[in-house]
Amino acid sequence: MKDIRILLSGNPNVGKTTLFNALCGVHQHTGNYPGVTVDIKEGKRQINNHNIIVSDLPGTYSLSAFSPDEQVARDALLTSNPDSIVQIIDATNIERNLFLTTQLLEIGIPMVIALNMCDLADEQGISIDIECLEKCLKVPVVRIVAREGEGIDKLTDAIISVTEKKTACKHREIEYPHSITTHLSEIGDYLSSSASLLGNLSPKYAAIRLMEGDEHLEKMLHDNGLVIPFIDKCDPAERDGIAEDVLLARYRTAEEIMTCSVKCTMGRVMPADLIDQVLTHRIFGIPIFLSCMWFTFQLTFSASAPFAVAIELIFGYFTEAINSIEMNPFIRSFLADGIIGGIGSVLVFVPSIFIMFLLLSILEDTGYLARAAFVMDRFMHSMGLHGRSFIPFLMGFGCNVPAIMATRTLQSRADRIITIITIPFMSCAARLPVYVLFAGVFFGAVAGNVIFFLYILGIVVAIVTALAFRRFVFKGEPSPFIMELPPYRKPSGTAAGIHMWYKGREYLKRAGIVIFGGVLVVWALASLPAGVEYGSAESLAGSLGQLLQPMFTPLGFNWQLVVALIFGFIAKEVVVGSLGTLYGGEDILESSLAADPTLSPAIALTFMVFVLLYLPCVAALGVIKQEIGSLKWTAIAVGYGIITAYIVSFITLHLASFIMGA
Amino acid sequence: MSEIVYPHNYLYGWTGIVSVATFIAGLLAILEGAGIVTGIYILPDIPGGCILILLSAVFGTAYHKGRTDRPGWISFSYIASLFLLIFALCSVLIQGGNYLAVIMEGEEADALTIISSSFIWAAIIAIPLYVGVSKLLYKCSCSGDRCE
Repeated sequence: MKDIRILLSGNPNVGKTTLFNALCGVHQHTGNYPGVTVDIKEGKRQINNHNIIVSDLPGTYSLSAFSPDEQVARDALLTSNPDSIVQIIDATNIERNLFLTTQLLEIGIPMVIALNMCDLADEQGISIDIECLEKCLKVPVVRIVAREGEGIDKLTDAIISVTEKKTACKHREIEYPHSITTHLSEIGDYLSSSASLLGNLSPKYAAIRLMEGDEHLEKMLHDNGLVIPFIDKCDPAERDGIAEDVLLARYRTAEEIMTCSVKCTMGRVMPADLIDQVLTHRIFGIPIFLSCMWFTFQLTFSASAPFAVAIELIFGYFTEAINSIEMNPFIRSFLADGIIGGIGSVLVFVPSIFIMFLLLSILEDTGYLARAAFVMDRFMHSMGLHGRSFIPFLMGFGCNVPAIMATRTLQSRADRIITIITIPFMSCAARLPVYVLFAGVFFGAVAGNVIFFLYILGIVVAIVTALAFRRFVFKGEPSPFIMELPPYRKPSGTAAGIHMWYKGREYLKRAGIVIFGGVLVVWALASLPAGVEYGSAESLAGSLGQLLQPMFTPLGFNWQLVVALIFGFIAKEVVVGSLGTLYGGEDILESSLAADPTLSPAIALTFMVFVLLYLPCVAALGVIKQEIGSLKWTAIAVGYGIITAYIVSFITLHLASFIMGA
Repeated sequence: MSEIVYPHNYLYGWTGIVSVATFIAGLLAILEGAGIVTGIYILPDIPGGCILILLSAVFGTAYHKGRTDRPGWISFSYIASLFLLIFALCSVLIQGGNYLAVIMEGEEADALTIISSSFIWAAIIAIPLYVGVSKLLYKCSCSGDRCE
């Protein structure tokens, strides 16, 4: 079995991860917006005695990397020495994609072009002459529709073929102006004598990169004591002029290839242009987006209600069955209150989470979320946030961990730190069960509105935080936002279903491990020392809660809520599980909360606000430390979250008490 | 600026009617929600009413644009009617979910609440507009300025 290592490269949002999934038979998250993949993912496929090892790279427009994710892609392409590179090109937008092609061709590694989204190109009347494209580039071009799995076998055949025939590396050469080619030869000849320093780069290609202004390579050569001919004698203005000439030569080549191989038979106005007039409208854009989100949360709450009731009924039946069996009271309490009460109170919210992920997947798949980022940009910019931060924010509604990692698409460190600190205020799916429970018990018919309010509050707090940090800590304007709007697509039921399942499955896994463990600890604390009434103030949980409860007296929390908050730091899902255990079981949790004289709608709202804003979970905290790379900033994120949660919750309690009292 | 005469004048006129109907539906939902008007068979829903008024404004903009800008009329009325239909479907699912949950809990519920949302009534009026403008949108985009 022969190993073939390939890199999947291309512009952002051309379907790299979709192709990766189709090639490797996996289900990595894909999205109809740029920046979904921020690090390298690996997968395998075995075909005809070949073991194809596929690496899915983050999208990049060129090899001159600016943001951390682009640097990851560039470094992999230039230093990992793969057997071949597969560039995925969006067939509906070939010219822009060809700029990267002109750079990849020069690396000198066997290459295959996968022309993706050919179905959309056909619909738009774009006719591509594949043979002509192959001749122009001197690279095999395969027509694919990655979403449908069309053309994948031909692509793998082409990959194996170019890898075995190394001659395929004689790709089309870019025609640089004479003034440049002379110096390219001079530099290339000089670098040939220091080839070992260049790693996988050929001297000729290294010369091109130096002419383009690759500071990283130039510094490395200088650090090794090399004086680069011509380059070191140029003044900055001259260097800029050369880099511009190289750039123009690439664009000219891309245009030539485009003219030869692509014909557009339809009008220039696309449905997307007409639709964007409205969805990105300066007045209607934001209200339309908010309306969509309002319906998303209403549906999340209401459409999941029958499923939640069914789960409650099933767990209620189990509890009754256990209570009717003669057994040791301690074991009965362990089974009924600990296992069934704890797990049941978490599982009852699984339908809400599945439905929310389904709806967000559908919105994302249509291409609408990228438009939402666009319409929010002006607003976010005025609040000191980068427009691109909106995508991690949206991901944060699912889980804060990948959202924090998605900030790698931001180029400026200041923008990244501000976004990372504010992401935990985006209400992740794990917090949803807390809202569904408390809003359902204390706000009845308007529960959906309360949940919507909480999500909006999280966004508002994030914006205020960003504004404060931009004004007092990272002074200056956020860097400008350029984002390519993806095409509109009919949402695919299968893709949305798969996305929903994989995201929901993560929640179930956590329910099975972290939450189960957490709930068992809470049950043990609620049962010990031996002889105390289960979940009473005399139990260990009660003592712990009462010890810390004075700190939360200004917020109106009882000791049970305090214990749930403490365990919620492990994972937010544990909050409801803990309450289920402390209040004596999932089947009576809602009625117990409603009957608890220490609770009121105002306190319930305050508790939800505190859960929304206080500490991120342990996993998110770890990723914050990893991404910022600073213990100081991680501590600031934690401290800021706790203080903000306390202040905002305090204000909420008093405002809500005033309004509801009135 | 000369006014454009449309071969589908009735469709253009219908945009105005849908705009007014959506506004009335939104207003009624808000008034019901606020408890000012009672007894009409419309779900009390203040945020939903505000969304309907927003869509009414988009329809109104489409009507206004249609006097001089045909693609503008098509795009605004297409999006507004599409969103109205989607929101109406969502309303059915929301009310359906609530109804089923109440029934499963062993309480009594009125099945007609499922179709009592004002979105549904407004959406019914918008269906012909959606069908018409979606065809026009396709022609408009595929044939340049021949949006007829």
